[in-house]
Amino acid sequence: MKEVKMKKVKKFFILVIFSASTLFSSQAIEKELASNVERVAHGLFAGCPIETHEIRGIFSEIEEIDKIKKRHSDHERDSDTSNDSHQSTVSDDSLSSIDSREAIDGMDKIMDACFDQREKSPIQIEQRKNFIGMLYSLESSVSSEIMTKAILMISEKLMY
Amino acid sequence: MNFCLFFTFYLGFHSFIFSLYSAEEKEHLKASAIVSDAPVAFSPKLMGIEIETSTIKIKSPTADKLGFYFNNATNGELVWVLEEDTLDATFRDSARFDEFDQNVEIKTHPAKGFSLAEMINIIGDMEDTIKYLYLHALDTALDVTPHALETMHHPKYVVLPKSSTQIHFLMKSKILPSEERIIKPQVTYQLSLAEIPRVFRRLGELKHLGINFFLHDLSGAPIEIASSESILSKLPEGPFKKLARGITRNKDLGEPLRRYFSERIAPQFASLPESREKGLITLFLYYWYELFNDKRIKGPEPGLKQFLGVMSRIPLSQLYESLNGLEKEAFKSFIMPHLAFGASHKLRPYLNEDDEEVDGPINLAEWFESIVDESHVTTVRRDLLSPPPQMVEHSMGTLDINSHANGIALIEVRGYSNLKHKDKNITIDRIREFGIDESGWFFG
Repeated sequence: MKEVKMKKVKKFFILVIFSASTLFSSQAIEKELASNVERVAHGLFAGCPIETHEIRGIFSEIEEIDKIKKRHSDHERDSDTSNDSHQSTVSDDSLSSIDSREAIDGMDKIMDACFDQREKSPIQIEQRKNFIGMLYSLESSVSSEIMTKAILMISEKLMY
Repeated sequence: MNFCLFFTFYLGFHSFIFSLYSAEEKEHLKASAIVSDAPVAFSPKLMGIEIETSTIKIKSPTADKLGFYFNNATNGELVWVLEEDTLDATFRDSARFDEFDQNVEIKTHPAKGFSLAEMINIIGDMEDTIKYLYLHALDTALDVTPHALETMHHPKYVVLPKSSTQIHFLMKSKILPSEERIIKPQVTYQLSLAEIPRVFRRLGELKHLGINFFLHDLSGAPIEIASSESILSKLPEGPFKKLARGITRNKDLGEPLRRYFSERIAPQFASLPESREKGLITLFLYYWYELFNDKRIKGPEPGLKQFLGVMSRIPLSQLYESLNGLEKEAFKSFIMPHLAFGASHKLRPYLNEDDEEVDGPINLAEWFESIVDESHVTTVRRDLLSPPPQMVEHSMGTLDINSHANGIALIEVRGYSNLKHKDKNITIDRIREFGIDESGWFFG
């Protein structure tokens, strides 16, 4: 009886420590992701060149956060101390039906609608076109869910 | 030559505190800062800088915050600090960074502001130091000692460890191409309230996203951009449009306020002469626009400062108090008629220091009242956002105007890291260039 109790207590503490460390880790990446998304949105707004590594960085941060959240929810599901706080992961229903081509086209149209004449200098238009070209070139290297999430995050920043 | 110039300008400057740190650091600062209770007749424009980077990581096995003080070799006064900053476990799964999980931060003396000549010297030294540490910590962990840093800058500084138990520490650099070695600068300006609109205009020129929208709406230009209907009408029916509808929700919530700024506030604002009350009005309107805008998005960090490009370190209630009677009346008579529209606008949600959501604890009218109500005579009068409800260790509005800012305004400009500086990211190789540009603009 005592041993069973001890096991439960041990399991509980492992869960607490695991939760705290994953939470910390996920928050640090979320902070970095928010900052990188903001940097790309600022760049698009200002008509500055966006570099491939900036977009790749956003993709990998989204992937990393999803992985951490998935690990976290799997761990909670496996544990008998907590099974009621399942968190959502990358495979969310609405995202799984998305085609990344549709999302990239959407991004193009969102940018077109978001900027008024003041922000439509030839250089800015050129940079935004380059950005869309870059998203197409990255299409095959990332899942459509990740691509769509990144596009939605950047779009949200542009829609002030 | 540079050193002589630096030393000459270094003498005779008044103190002001930029940010609050650990108890140990506060003690150190208390000993070195010149604190005055009375506003001085002439308060100089001064500047400070804080730069965080995740390109170099510090191994910090104890709870002590590791770092080094760079003290002026001639008079012993603290000039700048290099230390560990926030935990950044981004690379926790990689063997290279399993234990090296603290970002590096460098910042000028938190209790002093600096002149143009001083800033140029300090920023150059900061860039040299960061580049040196980055390059030497690339292949293997670098054991950083005060002696090495002192030798590098000889004879400018005496370098002292912050912790008596950890007199040296280990660093590792991320292997990154030069354009990815990004820094996150924040600049603090001590200036007259009358100069606040100039700072906003500068950030507008730099295309700071939030500031640009604020300035656009405050200029009275029509709000034609990005109505959610116009965005959605361009998207073909399908799953993406469904998702995009979700992200336009906050835009729709912010729309009435933007229209009000453009149609009702802008014409009145345009007729204001350059003045101290205009500076305070600008800050008030900006906080209203960013914080009481009915948007429901929480940020990833605790508190409200993440939503602000310009944040006052001094409570707005004290800035109000620093105005004369006529200026106070002008401030009130500008803002009060607009409260008929904005009084009930709730503070946007944010996380407190325990990561719990704080949702709408005050509204705009309550905040305004806490700024202008002078009936409660206390030693330090703070408005309701200084700091925000349920925030204690928050740098927003926590300093005192007289003892920390010589009776004038002290603002922190945030979000430089998101701007492209001359079309490029601001990286560890471009600290000097960025610093010279911004200090040149500010003092110019």
